[in-house]
Amino acid sequence: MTEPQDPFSYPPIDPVNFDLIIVGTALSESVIAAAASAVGKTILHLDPNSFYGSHFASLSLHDLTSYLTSPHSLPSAATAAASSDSDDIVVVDLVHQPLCTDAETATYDESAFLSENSRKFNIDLGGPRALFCADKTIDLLMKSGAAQYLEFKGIDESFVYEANAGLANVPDSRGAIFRDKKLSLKEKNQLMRFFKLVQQHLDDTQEEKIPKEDLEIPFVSFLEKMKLPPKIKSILLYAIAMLDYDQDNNEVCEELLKTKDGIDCLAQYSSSVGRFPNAPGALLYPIYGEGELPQAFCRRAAVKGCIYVLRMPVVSLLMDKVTGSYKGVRLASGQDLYSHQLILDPSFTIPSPLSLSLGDFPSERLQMLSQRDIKGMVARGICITRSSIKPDVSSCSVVYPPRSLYPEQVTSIKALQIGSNLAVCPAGTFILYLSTLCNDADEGKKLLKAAMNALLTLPVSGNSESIPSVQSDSEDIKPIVLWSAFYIQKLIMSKFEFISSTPTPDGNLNYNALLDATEKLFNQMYPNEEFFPKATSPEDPTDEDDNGLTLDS
Amino acid sequence: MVQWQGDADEGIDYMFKIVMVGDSGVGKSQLLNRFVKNEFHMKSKPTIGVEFLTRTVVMDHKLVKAQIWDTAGQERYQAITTAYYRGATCALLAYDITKQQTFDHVEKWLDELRIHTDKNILVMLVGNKSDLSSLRAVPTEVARDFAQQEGLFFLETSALDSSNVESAFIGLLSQVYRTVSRKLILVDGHESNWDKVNLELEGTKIKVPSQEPECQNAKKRFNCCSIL
Repeated sequence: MTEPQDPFSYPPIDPVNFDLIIVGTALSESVIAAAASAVGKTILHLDPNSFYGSHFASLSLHDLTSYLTSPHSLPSAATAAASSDSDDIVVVDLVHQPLCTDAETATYDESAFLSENSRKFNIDLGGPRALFCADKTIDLLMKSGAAQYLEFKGIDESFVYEANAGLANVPDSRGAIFRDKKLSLKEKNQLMRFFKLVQQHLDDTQEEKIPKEDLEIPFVSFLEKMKLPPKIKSILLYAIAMLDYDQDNNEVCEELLKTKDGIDCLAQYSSSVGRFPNAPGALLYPIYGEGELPQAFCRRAAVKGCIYVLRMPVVSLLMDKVTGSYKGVRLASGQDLYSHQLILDPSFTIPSPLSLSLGDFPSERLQMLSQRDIKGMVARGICITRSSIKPDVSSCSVVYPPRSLYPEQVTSIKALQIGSNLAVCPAGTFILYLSTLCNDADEGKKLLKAAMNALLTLPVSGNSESIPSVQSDSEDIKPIVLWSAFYIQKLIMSKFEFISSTPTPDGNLNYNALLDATEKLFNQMYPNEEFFPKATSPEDPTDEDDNGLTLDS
Repeated sequence: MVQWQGDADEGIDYMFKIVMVGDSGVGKSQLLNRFVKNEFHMKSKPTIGVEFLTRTVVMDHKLVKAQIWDTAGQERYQAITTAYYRGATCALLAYDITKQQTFDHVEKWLDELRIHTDKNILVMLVGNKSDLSSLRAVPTEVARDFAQQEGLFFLETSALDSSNVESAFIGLLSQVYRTVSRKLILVDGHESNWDKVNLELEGTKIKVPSQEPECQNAKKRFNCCSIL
């Protein structure tokens, strides 16, 4: 990451009128930039950071620590005027509220090594995150052309954490069930029969095997009806369908998953296994980290004419004095720019209109803008370790079902370990990401630390000679944590108004919900335009002797 | 991307990724168009539409494919993605001999390259627009001394009249080829790319190259049976 430079050394941005101005280069903003550029909109895409990705970025260790621990407020405009330059414009200053709060980081060991190798890390801010092979993200990457900038590798294994038993493989295929050493023969037969039933149900050539009334009941009830034992139920609900809340706890789980939706989750998971020849499991991960995805879409937008500016905060909105409608933005450099539509990163908001002295400006429209649709929180943890949580496995996903760590645990915890073969950390180290939904920071961190302690060990301070403790029920030695971080991200939904905003990273492992919201926002903004139309126009130059795809065989 | 392929695969022996860097307006896209398409456009605006272009040349009876990436205009406000530099083995760093500022910024571009690329990346410093000698602002000797001091190759070019364009690109490729033919560069330190997932190859069986280690082959072979 280059050192931040004086943002005002840039030439003035030319032109000054755009169809769309986007503030923030997170995944949703980048996808919309690419989609709108593809249909000919003129776009200015800015980010106050020196890097792409916003809260979906992958950062060096040093930059990550800075980002989490020293959030910045917006500077004043260079040519700040107490009143607007023009008679018909009202200037409304923006407020920056960081999405990551309650951050704590700790270095336990090898601080010199970590410091020297900071740039070899590409640590995801929004992790754990991966793509299913049958994900709609894959289809979007192909359709948009962004796939040509990315390379993926498969995640080696998927595990589920079992209380008092540690990590068990997720049996996600017939072969995996056959090979599994922890399932009893009876359990294997039950699971085989269940998968066969689901397969027959989904087979278009056959009559649906599951009655319609069963499709409407909670999935957990359907599994009980099938007389599946608790262990298999847990694997299906939390490790394959990846549900967040305890389906057996009516108090906490407001909306139980229906059987038909559970079947859909199983279908996506199993159609992911084996889709790509070189992917051993259901999941893919981009080489160099998840931050490559927003960059790929931004490159796509730039190729179609979108103008990009980094290190340039937007400090104010320019509003029409009479109608109260949006006109443009004021940059930190003092420049005013205008557009028909604006998309703001969800970390930007405005003060309550009551605190502004706007005279007879119609402030009720600003009221909506100052309110953000917060749906909850995601607690995230990151650990750097010296060995894998599973010997000989470089990358793997782990799910801790509800109550697998302690009786009051009401949410699943998702974890993802990535090794250096994916170019996200120095050789000989691993990154473990953890996340869970929570209602407050203390609850979230408690959950994450319990999950961390189940698999990892901290160096005993002051006693570097001590031998790491060995788990009583297996010969695996717990990896030692060199560094860790915990932080809370607010869950904010996307919003379409005369000024729109995009969603924050959610608690899911994949991007489907985020991309659904993004496509919906695009369709609301441009109802007559297609989302990434397939045919390239004759004016779109393509390289004649290469199809543009970097094919690695 | 350093991609070693057997002769049987499409006939290409080596493929190298070259990135173009330098200030906006110095002529990077014109240099690229001249080298690959032998075209020059008098009125040019910030780069739109060009992803990368490729050209294949023969060296020592080997087919060497150059994949040359353009900036898509993202350098104008210092917004080149870090992803742009992934896997680049060489860079062509251009400035405009009629604009001192573009030469002054070469140091900044070298810093950017050192941060985001392999430390062994080869850099050709190119002073473009040599046809405008009456407007020269950067003396040749100053630039040559700087290049020598920084360990860069150096040429002055004109995309307009074609001077030295071929030499700049072929010279850079020759140096990379020479380096690679002595030893294979480990891409970002990773010895093998055999397990990368190609999104295009859905459901297609690909032949695993025979030189791959057999034990890795056996270990990673995925199970063909899927439940659903």
